[in-house]
Amino acid sequence: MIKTLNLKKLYTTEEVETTALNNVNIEIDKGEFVSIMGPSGCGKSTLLNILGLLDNPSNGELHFLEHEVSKYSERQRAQLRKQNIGFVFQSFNLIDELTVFENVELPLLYLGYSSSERKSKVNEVLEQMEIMHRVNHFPQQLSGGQQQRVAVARAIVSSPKLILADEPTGNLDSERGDEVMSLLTGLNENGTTIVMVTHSPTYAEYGNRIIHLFDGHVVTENYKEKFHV
Amino acid sequence: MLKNYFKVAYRNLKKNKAYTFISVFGLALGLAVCALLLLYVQNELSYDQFNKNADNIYRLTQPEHAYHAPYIAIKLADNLPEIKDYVRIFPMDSEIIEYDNKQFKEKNVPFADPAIFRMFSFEFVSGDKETALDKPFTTVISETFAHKYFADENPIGKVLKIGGEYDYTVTGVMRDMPQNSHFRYDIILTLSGADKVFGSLMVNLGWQNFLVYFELQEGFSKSTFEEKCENLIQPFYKSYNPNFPKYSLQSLKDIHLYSAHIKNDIQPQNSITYVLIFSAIGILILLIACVNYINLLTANATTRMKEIGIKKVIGATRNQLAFQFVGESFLVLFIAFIISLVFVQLSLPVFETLTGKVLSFTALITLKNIVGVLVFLVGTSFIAGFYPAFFLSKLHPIQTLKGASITNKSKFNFRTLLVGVQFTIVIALICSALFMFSQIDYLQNKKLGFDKEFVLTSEINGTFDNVEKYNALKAALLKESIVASVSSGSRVPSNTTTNFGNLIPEGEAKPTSIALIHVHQDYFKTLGIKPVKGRLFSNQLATDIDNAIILNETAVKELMLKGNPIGQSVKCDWPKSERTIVGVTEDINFESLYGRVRPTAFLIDYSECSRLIVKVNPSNAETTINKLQAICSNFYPDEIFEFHFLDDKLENLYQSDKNTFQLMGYLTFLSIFISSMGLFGLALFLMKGRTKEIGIRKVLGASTPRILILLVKDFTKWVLIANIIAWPIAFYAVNKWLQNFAYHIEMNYWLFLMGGFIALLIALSTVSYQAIKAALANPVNSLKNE
Repeated sequence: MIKTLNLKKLYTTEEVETTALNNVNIEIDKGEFVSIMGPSGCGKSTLLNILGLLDNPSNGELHFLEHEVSKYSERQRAQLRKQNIGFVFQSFNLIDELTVFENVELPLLYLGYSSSERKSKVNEVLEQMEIMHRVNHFPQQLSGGQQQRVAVARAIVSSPKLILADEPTGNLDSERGDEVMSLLTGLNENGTTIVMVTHSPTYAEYGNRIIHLFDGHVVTENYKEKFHV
Repeated sequence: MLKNYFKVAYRNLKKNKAYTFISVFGLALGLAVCALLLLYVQNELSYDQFNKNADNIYRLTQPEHAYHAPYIAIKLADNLPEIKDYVRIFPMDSEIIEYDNKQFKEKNVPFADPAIFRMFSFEFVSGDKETALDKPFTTVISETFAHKYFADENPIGKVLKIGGEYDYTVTGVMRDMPQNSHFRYDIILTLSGADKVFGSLMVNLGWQNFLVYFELQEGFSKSTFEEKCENLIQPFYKSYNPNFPKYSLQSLKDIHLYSAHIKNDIQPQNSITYVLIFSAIGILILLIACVNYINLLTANATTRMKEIGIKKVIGATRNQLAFQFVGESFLVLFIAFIISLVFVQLSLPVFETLTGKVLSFTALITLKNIVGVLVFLVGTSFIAGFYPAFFLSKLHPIQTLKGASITNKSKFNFRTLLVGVQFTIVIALICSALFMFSQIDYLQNKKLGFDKEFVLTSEINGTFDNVEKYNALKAALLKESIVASVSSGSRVPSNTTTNFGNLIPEGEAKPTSIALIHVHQDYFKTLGIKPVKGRLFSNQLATDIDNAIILNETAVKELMLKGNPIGQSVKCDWPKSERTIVGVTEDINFESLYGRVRPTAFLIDYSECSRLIVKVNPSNAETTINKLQAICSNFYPDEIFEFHFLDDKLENLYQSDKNTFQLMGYLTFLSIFISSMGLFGLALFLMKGRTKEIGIRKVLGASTPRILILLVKDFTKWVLIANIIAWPIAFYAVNKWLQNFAYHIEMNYWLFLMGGFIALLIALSTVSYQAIKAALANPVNSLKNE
């Protein structure tokens, strides 16, 4: 599903050039649950953003669903992204001015679904996330766990092939964290590919593979094995 | 999708109440002011356009006035084939009109040629407009006039007694002349058979009291026509006035706005300068409101970066985001527009009083205006929506999600620039207003050379030529303890001096045209005028009546008298006499201070004295006037005495200016108000954006005053820069405007400083509230926000 070849990302400011990713070569297959770990500033989020087509690499190749997308324009990436990728963030990133229903509905709006289709799909995922009773609430009226469930609902409402989660449990207590992880596992079991960045070794274990980054390099890739720094 | 946009827009507006209020209210106010000024300007530009032949009608003018001898028009019409038709109007200030024992003193009673209703498009209610004034002693009246004199009777065929002497038969009733006509009469007496009323005056070339209008053939050449006019008229005057004035044609459509140079016009006309000033102010106020709006919208948009980021991640394209922001902006503008219409409707009566106009809300509904409003709404939406739509949506979604601060790294900041522009406008307006107010103050308080207080004047129809009768009246008035002095003259201050005579100094051949004021002896004493040389007229010296003349200083210069003028003799043609200069007065400002004092001569001639002047002692105005009226009517039962205080009459000279200044004052205040509102809103956002910085600084030990200085420093800098730009602009405008006045204030530089200081004070007090709040906040809270 995803393949990178010598992926490189440089950030250039006025005076300093920082290498965020250096020669990253990874391959993620359909149906996998991949955890990405590493210390702060190692390039985890950068990698996730590039995999999620939010950003272009500076060098190297990125293959996504048989397309070489590293040189895609913003518009082309947006097109590919909205049809295939769902995002879950540490800080939930719900729009404060929209209700739970409207937040979840948003991706479908941009995909051009009809009103009735949107309604049934949104209700379906909200049922699935057990947040239906909060459908008309605004994000600030929800607990962190509830907000993250809404965020997950929004990520999956368009049935994407890939879900990218950037520390989805980072802002939650362990109980809510567990809940979110089991949601993700459930989705993976139903065939959705998941790539998750996390600091937590415990939650990384939920993946069938852990990719470890350090200073922009892939250090190790472990299949169903524990890894200690 | 659209519904979603609306929802987000609505909830955002609801969430940021201060922002919404300032944007919507400020815009609505700006739009309303603009709409009102548009109504005003439209009205001003519409003068005389209702005339079907407006394009071909011209008024004959001279450099300073539009009055001609009646014979001139006939002479020109007989010789110039370009002239299709002509109309002469002899406007009389007032006349006593009587019907069925009802007597009124009517103001503005003109005589006009019968062609007036063929040339101008005044509607008739009854009678035939083609022929109504053809026969001698006929008159056409307005509906208002008809109602006043005849109530419900049919006016046609009724006979009105004019000036207690002539009977005029009503042959037509016209609708009241439209407000946007440069002349507005309720009665018009025919000039047909005028010689029966005016006798030989009708062919007297010195009797320059007629307005002359021509309807000209299409495609005529204006310059050729004017040249031909001069060639035809010059021979009449050349021998007699070497400085023969130029004749020119003034288009009917230009009369209302381009007659600033014309003295004593039939109605005080407006000036295109004021129309331009108000158009400019309207546009500037709208600009201020738009700048506010754009500033607030862009400031507010930065708080919506997260939303933009999320939408981009989810797959919104830049166009979709742009459409959303532009649409939102349009929505706000549209709401503001609707509210502005309500404002216009509510404030129209006040605005009408201020401008002295009758305006109609419906006059705004024209195709041009509708297209204009749409272009404005869409255009401003694009400009206002441009920043969030294109700049913010261009940002990387990850950056926006992280709430990356997008504070501009460069010193040049679009928003502060706009605030600078706004303050430039405001400062220029404040400075101009300050100058306008000092000028009107100057006009009202300038020493005019005579006493204007406690002087009552009344104009009668006839003259005080019967000396015995006049002296008896004078004696009776002087018996009253309230009366200090009594006299009469052909003109009193505030009247235009339109009687011109020719004076020839001894030993000279060329005559010089000088304004003449014919007076009774105590004229100067009553008005408190003192001689600078020689003496005033004396009651004791009978020779003064036929042989003495008094000049003002300008006349002495104009006549180029050598040596001491006192004792020199001059020939005068009105009345024909040889007179000795007995005194010189200073230059008395008889007329408005728009014009220089004319060379003027005073001489005794009872037959021209139609204005009674009574200097009274301070007392109750109403009882005094009633008493004077009773006494006067005793001696002159056929006259109607209406007394006015001289200072009121002088103030009336500047009434339209005062209205203009008042309006200008209100508009300046509004512009200050709208921009302060915007600044307040902007400060709100800017302070919010700096809470972290303030927190860190406080943690590191910065004192509250130091933080305060830091926060207001930027604003102060911009206001100071705005001053530097605004001053020359205001200087140019004010200087140009002051040139309209022959007597005006000097350029007081401290007024500019004061204008700048006021603006700075307003800016600081507006920003300070937010700044103090931010500076006093607990740093723990502000850092926690991060």
